[in-house]
Amino acid sequence: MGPAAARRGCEGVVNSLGAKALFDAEVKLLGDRLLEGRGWVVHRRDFPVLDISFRGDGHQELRLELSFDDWPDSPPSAIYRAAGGGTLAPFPPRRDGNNIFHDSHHPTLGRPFICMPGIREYHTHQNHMNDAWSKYRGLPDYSLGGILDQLWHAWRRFWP
Amino acid sequence: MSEKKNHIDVAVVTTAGTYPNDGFESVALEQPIKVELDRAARELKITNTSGWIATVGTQTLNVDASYLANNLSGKVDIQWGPPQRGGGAKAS
Repeated sequence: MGPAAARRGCEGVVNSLGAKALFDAEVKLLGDRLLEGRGWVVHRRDFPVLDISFRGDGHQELRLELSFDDWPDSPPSAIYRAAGGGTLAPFPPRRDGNNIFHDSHHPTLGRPFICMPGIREYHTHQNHMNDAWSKYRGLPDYSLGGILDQLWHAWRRFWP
Repeated sequence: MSEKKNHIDVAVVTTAGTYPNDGFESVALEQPIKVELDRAARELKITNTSGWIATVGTQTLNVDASYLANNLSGKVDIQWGPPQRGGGAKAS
């Protein structure tokens, strides 16, 4: 390995350590009072994965596996999960006006995706390439918790 | 129920922390909800709360109005955070 490659390798390790530290600090704020009050259930919170369900309020459960690898340089990637943790199928019909929870396939990933600023699949979608994550990164509404807040409100609004 | 007459026990719960950290704060029922939200933002060092939504259960609160006007009493945890800010095209 040459010096440049070694340096890039070191930078990758440092970035990963930073991402883990930030992830751990933000996830630590998701305490019992917040989780119980909102009907959020954390299935797993091991860097880089946050596996979380939104339950209650007369809605069907929405379980999401969020990957915060490269956080906060990249926003989290989201995968829909069934309540038991497997693949979500069939995909439930969403409420009128939904522009977030897509069962159509992402053009490059080939799977259903969440189309919302703060979610990686939005920023890598061909229709939103001009709406860069760098515009949002560091804003309170786009912290780990802020993104969860937004997903939760979208769930309350559009999920069956 | 708050021990003080015409008061309510309130906590503000956000993904950046809860104010107060433990228990509740006793505030006047006639006080606008936004007063306590502003205090929580200061204490939790949240720098921009523009457009944030406050909810109790399925009820979205009018934060410019009082607890009384929002029909709140007893002990309440106010869930507070940003709404869904945007999205893509309408999904099928």
